[in-house]
Amino acid sequence: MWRDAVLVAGKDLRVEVRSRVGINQVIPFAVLVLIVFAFALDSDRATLAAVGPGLFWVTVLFSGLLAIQRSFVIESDDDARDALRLSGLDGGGIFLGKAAAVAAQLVLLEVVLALGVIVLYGVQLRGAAMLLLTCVAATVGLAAAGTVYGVIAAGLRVRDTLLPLLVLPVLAPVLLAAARACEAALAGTPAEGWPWVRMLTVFATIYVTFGVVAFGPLLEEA
Amino acid sequence: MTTKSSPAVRVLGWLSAVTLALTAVMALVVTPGDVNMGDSVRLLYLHVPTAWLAMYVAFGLTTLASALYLWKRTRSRFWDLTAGASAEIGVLFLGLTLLIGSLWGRITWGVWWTWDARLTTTAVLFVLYVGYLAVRKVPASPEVQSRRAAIVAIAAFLDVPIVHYAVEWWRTLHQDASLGSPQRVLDPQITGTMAWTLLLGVVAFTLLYCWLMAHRFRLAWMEDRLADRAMQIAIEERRAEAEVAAS
Amino acid sequence: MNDAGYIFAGYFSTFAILAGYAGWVIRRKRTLSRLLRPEDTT
Repeated sequence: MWRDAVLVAGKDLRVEVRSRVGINQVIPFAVLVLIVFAFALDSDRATLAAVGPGLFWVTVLFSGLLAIQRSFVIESDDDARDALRLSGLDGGGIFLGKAAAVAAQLVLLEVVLALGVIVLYGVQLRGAAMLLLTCVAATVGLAAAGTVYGVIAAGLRVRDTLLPLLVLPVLAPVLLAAARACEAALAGTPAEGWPWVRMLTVFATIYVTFGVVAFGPLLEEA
Repeated sequence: MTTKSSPAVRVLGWLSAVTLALTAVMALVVTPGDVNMGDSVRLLYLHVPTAWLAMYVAFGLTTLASALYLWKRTRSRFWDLTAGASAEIGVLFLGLTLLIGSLWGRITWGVWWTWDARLTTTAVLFVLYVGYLAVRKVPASPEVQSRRAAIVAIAAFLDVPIVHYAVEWWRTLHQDASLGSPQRVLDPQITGTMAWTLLLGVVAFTLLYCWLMAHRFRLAWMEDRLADRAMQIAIEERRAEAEVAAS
Repeated sequence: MNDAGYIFAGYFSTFAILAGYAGWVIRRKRTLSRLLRPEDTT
């Protein structure tokens, strides 16, 4: 299973690097969202810094949806999905590979957005360890849950509107917990972030497990 | 197939109508207002039953039926159709819960909405099951459609405790000062006639749920048969065409 | 609108919506049963 995961992750990332959709479209979209929020909220830097963590994670969430949809769009070209099913790769392995590729893209996205939030919103960086931990736990959860729902919505003509409807309520706790943990870290009281990081870890564990188990059968029907 | 429902279902229908009417009368006229929240408590006689029926009965049945459908030994169209019908009624009841709750909040707190733990969780729950209903409607082969919907139902069920705990935690950290302690306001002193009326309301809505389920399930079953027939007709037409072409 | 107004609005809309849904289900059942009657199997 692990070897299959590495194989699939490598494939997805290579497709990504060659097409550069992530770099050319998703990341600029994310930065644009940050800017647009600033316009819409019409706030001074103090307020923007205060809401920074929340806006950061909302942006990660929406941009992440694009990355997840992309992860399955590449399979619909040239019947790649059939090839995937027939390849004999383990279902759980395909899941882990796809989720890992999405997670890698999310990490890159988060680095860029972190810079954006520091520069554009004037957020002061503190509690780096807690921030890092939060990002890891939240990213794994986002990638895992997103990939599970991505395959459910995959291959459907209404995919683009169905995926957000299905996955946003599910990801709402991740958004909540990640934003609160980051706020705690930035406020100089990282210890308060621990319950949230614990929840993010539980969430990630549940969805990684669910994905490994359910992805194979779900892919068969996509 | 007759258009008339069985006598049992019709009795169920009348019983639920009567108990609902009785609940309304008790709630609006007979019972007193609450010590703390006054007349707004009358809305709770609708709000609490719809919430309980939706969350524990309707969505609970959807989850159970979905699991039974996924398990090979008990797989049958019956469970898939049950899951869908129950979810639809659950969404209806939960929508009513939110509506009545919003009116109640308007009276008690002067706002149509607030981000307290219960409301937020309920709102997310509502959207989760609306999503489930949307997945059921996406066209695909019947087995694929049913299995996919069943998995989404299980996933939604798994998500409920997560959302619940996340939001609870969040709201206990951010007690909205202007609302005071929600605990005291949200849990009125339910005694005497008020308790009986609430119980009556739960019974009434349970009967209503059963009656609606009987009809909605039947409807789902008929739609399923119709789809099967349409498929059969299409296959026969195709076969006839092939025979004409071959001759 | 005072308190009583909200309370009556709540009761009225609840029963109206429930009746509307029940009516929709039953009406659709009648439509479908007419389409399915020819085969007459249960």
